[in-house]
Amino acid sequence: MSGHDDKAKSAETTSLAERISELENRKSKLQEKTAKAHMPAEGMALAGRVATELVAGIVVGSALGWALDKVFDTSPLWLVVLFFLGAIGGMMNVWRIATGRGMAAGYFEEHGTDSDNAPSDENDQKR
Amino acid sequence: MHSPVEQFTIKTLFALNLFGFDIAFTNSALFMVLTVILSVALLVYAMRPAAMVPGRLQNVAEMMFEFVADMVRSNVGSEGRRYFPFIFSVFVFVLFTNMLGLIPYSYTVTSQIVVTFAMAAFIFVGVTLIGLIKHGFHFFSFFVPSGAPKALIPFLIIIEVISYFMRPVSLSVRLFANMLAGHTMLKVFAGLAVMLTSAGGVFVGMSALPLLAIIGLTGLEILVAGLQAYVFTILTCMYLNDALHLH
Repeated sequence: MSGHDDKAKSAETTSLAERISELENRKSKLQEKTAKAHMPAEGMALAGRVATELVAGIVVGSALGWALDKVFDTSPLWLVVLFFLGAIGGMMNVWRIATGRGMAAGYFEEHGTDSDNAPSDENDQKR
Repeated sequence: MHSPVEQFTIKTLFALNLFGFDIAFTNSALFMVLTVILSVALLVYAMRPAAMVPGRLQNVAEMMFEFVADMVRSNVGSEGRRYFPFIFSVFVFVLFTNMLGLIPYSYTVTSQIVVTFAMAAFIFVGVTLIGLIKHGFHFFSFFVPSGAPKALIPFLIIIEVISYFMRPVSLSVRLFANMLAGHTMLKVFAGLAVMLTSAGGVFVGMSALPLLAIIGLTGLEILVAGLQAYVFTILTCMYLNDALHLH
């Protein structure tokens, strides 16, 4: 480095800056491309989630009902009740995934505190 | 002719007995050990130079690391940093078992529901404990949807509890079913190719069709292997996020 004079150095840095900006351009273009390429994979992941969520609801509901019937000897009351409740739970989870209301199953906020929830909900639905 | 599901049979490699428990070393265990060794070896070997400009292997290791780090940051937030080592291990383990399973004559560990359910149950119990320790009794407000009509609340609580217990089931079944279905499908098409070839005559030419299908399906299976590792990890992040930040 010490062997170079100032002129050569500045020429070197400008060409370097050009090369960097060119690389940045190419990088951002590539990133756009890969971002687009990610879309179908994410859709597939979502579709898989929806299907298993439906099945899991029924399986868990029925298993819980079957166990309760065994304990309380009330066959088939709880099996029938919890089968339907499980199916409802599964559908509710699917609805939650579909509306982007936080992809995870569990808690959701329907009517509370609109002010800080509204923008995030909008973002979620765009996803 | 082999059955398409024969690939999933567990074989005992050598018998082990510890305090009356049968802990035989099986082909499944062998591939779990292989997964751990290979993933640790890759990460250690790839990061050995720790160069400013990463080489190929170092790039792979850094990409995996950053991918999971981004996932944790965007889904759990800064509080998730403490749990990053665990989540990263889960991702790498699932990814490597899925990918190793695609090598011919190897064994897919994640095609066994015992394995995936054990992992999902561990995550489920762990996340619930984290929530309970962090929020105490307040954690149970998780099951009460706010703003619902009063009359519906008991009904909704039951549904919420069921849907909470669905988590380990859907988490494990998704991974297991995807791997099982994919590998069975590959074997079915492979068997078709063999049968057509042995039938002779015109059928030999037709056997190219299932063979072509296998090429496509193998590509699809590589996608599924990565995708399911991603889904498993991102759901772990989301469950953790729910436990850490009760709304």
